[in-house]
Amino acid sequence: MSNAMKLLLINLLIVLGATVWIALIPEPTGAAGMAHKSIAGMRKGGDGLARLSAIFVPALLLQYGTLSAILSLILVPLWRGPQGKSAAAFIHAVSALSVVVWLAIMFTYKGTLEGDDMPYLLGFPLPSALTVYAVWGVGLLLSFLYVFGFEKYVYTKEDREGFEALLKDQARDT
Amino acid sequence: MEELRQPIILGSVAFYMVLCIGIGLWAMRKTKSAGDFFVAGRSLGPIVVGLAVFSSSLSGFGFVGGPGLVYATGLSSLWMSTVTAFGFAIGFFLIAKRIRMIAEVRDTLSLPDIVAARYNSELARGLTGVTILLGVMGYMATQILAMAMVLKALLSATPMFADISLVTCAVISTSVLIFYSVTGGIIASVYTDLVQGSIMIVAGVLVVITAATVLDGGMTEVSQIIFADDPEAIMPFGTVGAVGVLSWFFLFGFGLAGQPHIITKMMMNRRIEDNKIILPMSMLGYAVAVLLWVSVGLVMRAVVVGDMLTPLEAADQAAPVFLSQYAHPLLAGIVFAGLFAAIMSTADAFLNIGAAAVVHDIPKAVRGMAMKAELASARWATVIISLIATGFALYAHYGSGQLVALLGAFGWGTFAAAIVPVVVIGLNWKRATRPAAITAIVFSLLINLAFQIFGWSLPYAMHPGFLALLVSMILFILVSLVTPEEEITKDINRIMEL
Repeated sequence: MSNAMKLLLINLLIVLGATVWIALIPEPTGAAGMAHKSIAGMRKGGDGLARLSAIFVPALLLQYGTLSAILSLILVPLWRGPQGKSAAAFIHAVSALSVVVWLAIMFTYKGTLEGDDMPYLLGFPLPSALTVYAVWGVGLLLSFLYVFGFEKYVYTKEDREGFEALLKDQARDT
Repeated sequence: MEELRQPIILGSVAFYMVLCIGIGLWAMRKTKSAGDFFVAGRSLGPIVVGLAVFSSSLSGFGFVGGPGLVYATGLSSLWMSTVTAFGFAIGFFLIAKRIRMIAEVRDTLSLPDIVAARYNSELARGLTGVTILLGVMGYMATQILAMAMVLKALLSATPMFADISLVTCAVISTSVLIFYSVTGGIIASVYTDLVQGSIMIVAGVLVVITAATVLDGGMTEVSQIIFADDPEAIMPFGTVGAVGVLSWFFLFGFGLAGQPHIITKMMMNRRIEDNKIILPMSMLGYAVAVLLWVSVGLVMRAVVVGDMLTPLEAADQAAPVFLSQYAHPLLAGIVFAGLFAAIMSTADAFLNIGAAAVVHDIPKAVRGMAMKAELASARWATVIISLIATGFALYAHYGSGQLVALLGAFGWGTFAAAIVPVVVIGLNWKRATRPAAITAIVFSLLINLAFQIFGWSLPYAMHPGFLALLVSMILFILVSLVTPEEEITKDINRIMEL
């Protein structure tokens, strides 16, 4: 079992553990929102601090486990050959950046609920702006690696030659 | 100009539908075999595939259900949309290259063909085919319902069709869909996707600009109005709360790579190297459409809670009402055509893989060969699946009244839980075994179906699809580790080395 697969399994088990932990915590009122009092078909979140406080730590764990599981899955095909180390280093750097972004989302959100004055950024309160723009941005970094590292990490010269050899062998056999 | 609003919108939609029919007729002449019907002969360029991947990954779910969800629950559904950037990355890093290689070496027509090749198992092929068929029904129903609802909103605004029924609208829109899907198969599908994707990007940009200018203070004023009514609605997790949306993060972050209508398109590009163009094109289109999804929903919530507009009859009306209230008639015409484009591009992709499951995959698994006269059978299967899904859509609408978006999520969850472990992990991990693949598919089906049938729910609004995907992934790895290592067919083994 490769290191990346081990990481994936560990992170999936972290997600499972966080899920069980959350399931064991009694739900506060409006844990998943409530009907809007005056507008049919619309929902309200209500007392955000009460419902966040109940699950803050396991929610952080769930968030971390999910993010790490996704990134370790991406590592599975990349962490191979001599060039695998630099790909792994890039993914680990993206992971670290992602953890910073995710923690910033959680703590600025908690701060807003506790009454901190939050600035608006590009149309949204800061924690939401981070979710709208930075989460997408982290995904974009992975695309940069794919596009600009395609020949180095995804479909190398050796891969192309190996595939052409396979097609030749297949044509010869048939 | 305002008095011409309805004629312009209806004219645009009619023009778009005629265009689809035209493409269907053109593609019919190019469709000479089952290979042409299902995978376009693996001859498509990167722009066509890129726009096809994007437009079929965003659907009525994104253009109708998405703004509806934002209207109803605030920013919660961001965790369905922005996190798909990870899903695209997983799909392209892990399987785009290998799927294309296997398609060429084994001359595959469908995703179950790939599964059968990887695990050397007809049972795995059959189960994947059944899973796809079940998911297609749930998802097709979503698309058909979305098309019918948008058409009804358009036609009922005219004096002539004021009393038109949802059933009639479903029949009209499904007829166009069936026509070009039956005549031109996947060739018609991807070339209509090219038109549809282009319309969606243009429409998306224009709508986002419009949404940002509805209120003088732009999106900041929109956010402030929502915040004043309910701070949670404009916070990162919306009204659903942190745990519920984090379960969406898991499901949609992984799940995009498990959608068969997207994976199947990875077989169709001419060259493997084209993938480095296809990925950014798909993501760019998706990003624009997500901005539409979020901005329209937020503006509609703000104007309703700010007493500038009467509350909507249903959350799914958010996009149609926004267009009728705030968009310039010409823009509304383009965007309504874009709405149909979004819905139809996903529906035609699902019809195609559903037909493949019926005439190719399931018969091959059961009796070792596909149906005779595969092309003609595929065309009949396309019609039958459409009709059944239309019935399912109307029943779901009149019977349960659920949001279009949540019906779509059932299809999404089923696909993700069954296909992510078996295909995405399985094609990258030689230790994966046949029993593990079968266990993962069976459990994903059982968990998703049990939650639907028995109406169970998870605490803190966690999505059942999340649980199904998590359990199936863990089971897949653990069962693989405890079952004996299996020999992989030589050609597939060589591909997995690359």
